[in-house]
Amino acid sequence: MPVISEPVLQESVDRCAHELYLAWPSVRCNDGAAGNRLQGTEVGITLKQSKKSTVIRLEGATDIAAAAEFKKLLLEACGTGKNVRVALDGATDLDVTAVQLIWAAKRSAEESGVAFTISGAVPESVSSALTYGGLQQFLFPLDAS
Amino acid sequence: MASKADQFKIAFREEGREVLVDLESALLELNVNRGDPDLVARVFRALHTIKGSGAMFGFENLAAFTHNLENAFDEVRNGRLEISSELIDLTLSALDQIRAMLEEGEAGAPQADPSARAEILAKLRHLMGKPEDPPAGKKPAASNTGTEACCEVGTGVDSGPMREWSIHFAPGAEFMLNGANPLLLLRELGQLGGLSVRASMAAVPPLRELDPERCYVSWEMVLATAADRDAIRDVFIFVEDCCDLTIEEAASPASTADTIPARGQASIAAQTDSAAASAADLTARALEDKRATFGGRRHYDAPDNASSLRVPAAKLDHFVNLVGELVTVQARLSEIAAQRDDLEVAAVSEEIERLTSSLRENSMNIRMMPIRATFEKFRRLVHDLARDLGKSVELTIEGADTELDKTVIDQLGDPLMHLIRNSMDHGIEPPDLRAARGKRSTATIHLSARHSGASVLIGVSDDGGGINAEAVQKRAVEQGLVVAGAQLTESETFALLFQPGFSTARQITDISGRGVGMDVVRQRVDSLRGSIEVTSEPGVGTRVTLRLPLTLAIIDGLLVSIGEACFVLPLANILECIELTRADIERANGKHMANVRGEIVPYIRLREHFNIRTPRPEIEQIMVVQTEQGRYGFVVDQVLGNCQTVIKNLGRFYRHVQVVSGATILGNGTVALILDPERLAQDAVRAISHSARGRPAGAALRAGSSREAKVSAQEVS
Repeated sequence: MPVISEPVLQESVDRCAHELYLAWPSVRCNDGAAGNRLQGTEVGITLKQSKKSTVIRLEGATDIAAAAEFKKLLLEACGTGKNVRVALDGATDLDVTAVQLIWAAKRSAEESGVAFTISGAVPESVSSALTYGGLQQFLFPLDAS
Repeated sequence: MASKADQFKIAFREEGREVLVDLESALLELNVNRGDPDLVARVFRALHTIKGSGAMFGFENLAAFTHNLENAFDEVRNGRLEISSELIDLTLSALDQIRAMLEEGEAGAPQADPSARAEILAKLRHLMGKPEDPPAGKKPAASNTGTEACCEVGTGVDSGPMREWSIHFAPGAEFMLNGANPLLLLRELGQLGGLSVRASMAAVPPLRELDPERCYVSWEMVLATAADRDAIRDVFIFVEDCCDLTIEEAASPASTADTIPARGQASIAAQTDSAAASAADLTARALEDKRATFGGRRHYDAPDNASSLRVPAAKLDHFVNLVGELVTVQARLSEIAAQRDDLEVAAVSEEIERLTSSLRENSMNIRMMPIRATFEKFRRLVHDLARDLGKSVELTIEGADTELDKTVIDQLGDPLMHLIRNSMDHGIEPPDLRAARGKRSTATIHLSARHSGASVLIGVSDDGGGINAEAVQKRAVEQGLVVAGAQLTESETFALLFQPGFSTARQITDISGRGVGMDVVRQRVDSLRGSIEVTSEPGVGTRVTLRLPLTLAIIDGLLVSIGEACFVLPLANILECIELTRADIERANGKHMANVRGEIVPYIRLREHFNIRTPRPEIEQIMVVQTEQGRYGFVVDQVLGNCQTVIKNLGRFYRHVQVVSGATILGNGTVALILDPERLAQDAVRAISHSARGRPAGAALRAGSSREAKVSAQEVS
């Protein structure tokens, strides 16, 4: 294993951090507006509440970088006592962390007697990745909307 | 988070480099044994691994490019494409491009060249008999933008007998944080054959307790493929350390049922079976049962999954430095304990001494690495140079498993490269001359490594034309390195080759002849406290042997004293210690010979050699050491005992004092010089032979002993 000098390492860490920052911003907004957007990127999770239900809309890639934020919003949505709907229409990527969060949220919603639905079709690339991972069934048999 | 992902990329680069080294040596072996299906499979597998893992860690360009090579070797494997020198050379150049892409962004890395890649791919298509774009369903070959790599299914399916494998895969807590994506791995696995997947959500905790960045999902899979266990394992090669992975051949229905109870109904298809969630739960429960059976312990299936660890070299160096400090402090403690008449302190001190000693041995062992990788990488150099020079040369390797200190190995690459280039260019004759001399048309360069006492001997030999000693002397006189008419021994003559700027080549070629290479060899070997020995026979070949210390950090030594001065001799060289009394000296008629159980051993009185002017004791000690030249005795006043010696380098000013290989600090704070018995013996022999025949005036050879150099310089001035 070669010795990597401190400045080189630091530089590559910084570069990588910057790339991640550009790639995975998780943006939240409560008022249904477009939310904060980073230049040129179309990603984010938004939570919108109406009288009857709470809708969490996923846009762009929802992956590990957005997982903490996603969990927070799911907890918030399940805590409102209203029906929860996760809209996947705008999602371009879902990874394992997103799927297990939706699965866990669905379970806790059901335990507390709240209806939990998933709506919208995901792109072919996402659905084929989920199929390969055997995860499709955990999302779409639940789709009642 | 960012640094984790970055670390993972670094880890991929590291392992990628290793795979590339293996790939390169497999390709070069394939060039020689063109019909070997195992080698083709090895090349294919390496390409497949690089492609798959590259795509996984965001090296899409690399993956797309490698994909095309993989296709070519798939054709080879299926007998549709023949292995030719052109294919090998093309793949080797492609390898350089892959390496450049792998290192892209690293400081000082060579620039990857998209146009070179396009050219390679065009040639490759031509070789494969596909001059136009590949047929539909295949990706465009020269996709330099390469954003979609490795999503194709089916290229990896072998044509051998199909087998079924049960695979259990559970990512660990850090898996996702490391930047790995299990879904991409499963897709990659699907490329090996028909894959049936069942994911289990059983381990997912309630939402509130769930760590959002951890993967709780685990998978049970059945893979029907002709690929072997290694190929399956290769898919997981970069994540093996952070997941629970079991690969079992589903040999009998019983064992299969044991692994996946619900598999009975599952059809083996490239598609995931879309069983209901309840079925998945069933699998999950079965999985839990299985875990319970194993007492909750995770089990790994193969012995090759033994827990080995990658540690950055810098950490290891720091560790060894600390051990070195500890050894010095421990020596002080032992010294103090010996002065006080306190049994308890003495007992603790002894215990610490024992522990330090074993800690030192262990830490030294950790740094030991086989020299194989260094040797193997010269296959490519020999192959390329042979092609450029129009010579046919074979590289043979011996003793590649010989282990030596990592620091030594790291610094060995350059000198060996220069020696090999020199052999190829100057040593090995052109094919017509070889034929005229009745030699085999394919010349041989032999790399060897073996241990000898506390040293390791690295040999580079060729069966070329040998060194013309007269030409060397003549050239040395022309360059003013020796005076005309000087009588030089063979070893002194060959030592001239390592003088800066010395070259006998009439023509400077791209490869050598500038007289820089051999000087680099000498400097590097000097800095490693090693020595160079050259033997050559005209018309038969040349052998250069580098003698290097096994380790540069800490050695076991024997502490001896002469008058007030202390010296350390490496214990590995010492055979025994015997007494030398005045009576013994009289019996030998004053000659420096001792009778060791009937064998005559010549000895060197270090007191005289080092010009120490204190009175000689009645009884002296002879250290009998084994050197390359035979057995010698070194006479000292007293043997003080064993000591663990942390080697400190001498200052630059003393670099040419060759009989001393370093210094060490003793427990009482005094400095002892570490003697190099090998050099000491050579030095003494040379001094004796020179005094017998008179020294050549002005032959101040740097490669010779410092004493001699000093004397000669004085004589000249």
